[in-house]
Amino acid sequence: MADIGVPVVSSARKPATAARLELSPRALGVAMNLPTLATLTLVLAYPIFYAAYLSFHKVALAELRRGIFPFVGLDNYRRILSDPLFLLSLKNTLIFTAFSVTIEMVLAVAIALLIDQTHVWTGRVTRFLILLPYAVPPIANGLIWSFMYNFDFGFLNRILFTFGLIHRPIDWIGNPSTALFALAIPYLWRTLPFAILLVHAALQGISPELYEAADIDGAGALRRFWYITLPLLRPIIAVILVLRTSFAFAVFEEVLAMTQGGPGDATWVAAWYSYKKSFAPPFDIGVGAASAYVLALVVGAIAIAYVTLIYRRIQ
Amino acid sequence: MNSSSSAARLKTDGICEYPIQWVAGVGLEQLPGTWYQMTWNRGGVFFDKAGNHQLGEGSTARETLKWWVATFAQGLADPESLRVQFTTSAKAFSAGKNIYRGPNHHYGLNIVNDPAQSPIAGKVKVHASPGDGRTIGDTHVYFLCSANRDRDWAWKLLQYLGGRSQDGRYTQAENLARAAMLGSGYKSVMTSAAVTDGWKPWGDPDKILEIWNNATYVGEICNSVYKPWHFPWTDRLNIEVQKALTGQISADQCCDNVIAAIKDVQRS
Repeated sequence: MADIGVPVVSSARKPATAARLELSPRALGVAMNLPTLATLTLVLAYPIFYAAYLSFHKVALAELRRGIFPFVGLDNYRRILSDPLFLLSLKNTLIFTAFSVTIEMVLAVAIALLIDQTHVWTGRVTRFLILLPYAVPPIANGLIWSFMYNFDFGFLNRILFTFGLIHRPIDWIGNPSTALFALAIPYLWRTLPFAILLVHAALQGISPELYEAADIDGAGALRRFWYITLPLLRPIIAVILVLRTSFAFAVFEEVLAMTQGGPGDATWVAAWYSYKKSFAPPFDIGVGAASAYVLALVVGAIAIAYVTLIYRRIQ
Repeated sequence: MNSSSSAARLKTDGICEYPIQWVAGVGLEQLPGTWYQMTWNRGGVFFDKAGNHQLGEGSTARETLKWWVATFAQGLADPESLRVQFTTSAKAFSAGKNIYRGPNHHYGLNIVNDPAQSPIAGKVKVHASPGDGRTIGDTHVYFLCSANRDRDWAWKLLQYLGGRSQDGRYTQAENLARAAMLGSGYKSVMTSAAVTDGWKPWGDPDKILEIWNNATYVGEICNSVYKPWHFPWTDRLNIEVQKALTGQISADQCCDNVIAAIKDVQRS
């Protein structure tokens, strides 16, 4: 008889030493999780708590040199909350996030539905092409779009000009009224593939029988989408909203590469403010940490609101 | 004919859509440096010796800003000016769409006059600033921190970067002058073949050295550079001046805001 690899449970008593070494399932679970827990503590929890510590202390170059950080209580928070530039940065961040996340959600669902159509032969190519922007590093993305938007030589103006849609070039990122939205487009271009992937994966999980039943009942495409697809996509939409909102709140690279906060303060966003406070002269790291914490609190509150509102409705 | 009227003529005659490209990107030296230089060239400063600002009504800095804003309002200045730094402005200028770039001492001449990088190579000349040519010049310096873990090695590194090699030459400074067209604080380097011959393919070394010899340190124009609040104030200055240059606020409002910012940053 061939050995089929079925484990044989021996009825013989285990040696006493082996019995002593065998861990209970609970202890084994803890032991197996310890490396992950230790890694996450080191690379995630420690910086987060250390940033909280810094936000309550005066930390600039002189303090870093001395190695002594005087406790200042809520002073750093008081300073940023009374700084009009920080409040403007928060407002700009909210506008940027609302604009980019809304567009991203709508486009992600629409494009995922399109590439889900198996009878369209270009679907596979489209799926591959859609993923490409996700492979572009954020800074490179910002630089690419700087050329796209360039006032004198940019492709965007050239295309619009060629089609007769404009008669004079538009200064997309140099005009304070368009700069923030112009900044959102490259960000969307870079992050949209991730959202499409998630929605597309969720679409694969919807049973075709539901659509067949709806067909028999005479439901049209719009009704099928509204009463079957959308409700079943809600969990993934909630996940995408939480992820994309938190990432949009932390947008930085495109700002660095394209506008550096300008023109004027039109594209000062919260992460740019934290960066400028912490890593540009005079390196006020305590204030920068406090601003990052305020940002984290806002993102946390919005994430809780999403989960509460959307998940509750699902349940 | 002054520079703005010649630029206007170039525009109306259809020679050039945007004759002027300013170096006005956000930075510690770029946008602020352009305003400092033009103000100094007209005989003004930002702070007097006692540290009092010189940005009030009728001040040279304020009038200079009004003139600067007008170059954008009249469409003489390229809107891309607000995003270019030293090197990127040189590369943009190489495209040949502007007539004047500056104010700038010699940064980027090794780009705009390099045939490998620039379609207008060989056509770009250096001119002294208007009037008596008053301008600003800086050399960057190396610092050695007394808290280094290994002072001996730090000292060796400093000697390597800023000192003489065994043949008595400032080898690194000469290399930077030759390869990157970076000036040096050492007179022997500025009069060496690295500059007098090495810069010839890119510009007129005699002219550049003449300008250089008459340049003033930025601390004379804006002595807040010695104060700890200079950097946060410069952040505010960048924001307010860009707002003025893009027409969001007037030059007067800009100067008032920049004055108010002095107290704000001193307080914080």
